Amino acid sequence: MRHVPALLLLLMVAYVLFLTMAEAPAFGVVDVPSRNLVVDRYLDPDPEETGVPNAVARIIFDYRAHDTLGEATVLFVAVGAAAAVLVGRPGPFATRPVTGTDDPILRTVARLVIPFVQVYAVYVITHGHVSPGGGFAGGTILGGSFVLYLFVFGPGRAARKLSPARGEMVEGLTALWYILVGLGGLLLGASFLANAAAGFPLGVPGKLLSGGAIWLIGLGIGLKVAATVANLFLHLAGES
Amino acid sequence: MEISLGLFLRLNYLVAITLFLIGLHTMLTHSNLIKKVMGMNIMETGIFLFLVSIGYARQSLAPIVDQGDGVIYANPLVSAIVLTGIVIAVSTTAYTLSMIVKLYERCGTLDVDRLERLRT
Repeated sequence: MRHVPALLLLLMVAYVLFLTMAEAPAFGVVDVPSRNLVVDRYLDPDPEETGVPNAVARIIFDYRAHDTLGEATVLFVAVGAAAAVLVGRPGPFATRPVTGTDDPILRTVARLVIPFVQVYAVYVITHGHVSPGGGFAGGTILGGSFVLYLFVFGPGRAARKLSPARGEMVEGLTALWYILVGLGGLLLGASFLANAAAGFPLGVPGKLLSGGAIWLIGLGIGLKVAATVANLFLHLAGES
Repeated sequence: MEISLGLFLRLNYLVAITLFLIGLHTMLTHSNLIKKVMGMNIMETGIFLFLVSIGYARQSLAPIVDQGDGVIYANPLVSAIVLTGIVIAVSTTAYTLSMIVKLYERCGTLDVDRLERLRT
């Protein structure tokens, strides 16, 4: 029986977690230790520094852009690893491939919904610096529209346009784009992935075309995440 | 009374801990690999809820800093960290699932106990 040791371990973890929670400040209190001067700095910097109102976009694409480059690499490696494990297998899906559905309701609704989903995804990606959302969220929505398409219509009709090879190409190119934008900062006389310090045009804060490198990197990340989601689905569904 | 009030004031943390424990329990006690992956994802959800809850202050708005003076914004740092966490969660889930697909093709089972017996 593995239930007894599992339960014991669970009780121990629960005990530690509850003790920690009892010491924690109540939910919603403003004056908590995690809200320190770093957060104040992120929330209220010199407006000349980043030029975007979205504080999360400031952090992930400017102050901590190195971190996000690492994240993009993690996604890249995950897709590569999944492809390496799954490619070239005569799997269970080969005998029962994802062919789509004949259901007219599903097909009609998908045909109506997918364009709106994609337009919304493009909106979320391109407005990531002025509103909630951004490259990661919008890319997931765009990738989700591809997955919906593949589920309903099957890969047959879209095999040329939505192939893993093309997805891999988009992923590689967008990762390269990220690094090129970073190197642009280096080239302009500042550090790698510098934004305003390198002289990227910041524009008027709150406008669509503003934020310099933040906007450029967000665009690349959006495409990259969409390609990742579609690619992972294609690999797991047995396309190669 | 004081204890129940304290718990009520930390309801989000309580739910996060409960989610974490449900996920851990699922991972420990189920022998099906897919269910283990589900448990891992539930654990991750609990952690994300905990982190996002830390960042919230009463009456605070989303950290889009152009909404006038005297407004409290939620902590943007934890949102950025949760974003990283979600990316890692997606990556590990995708890789684990692809390994599980391969394992099922090789061994014809997803049951850990049976796989253990196959090995010996």
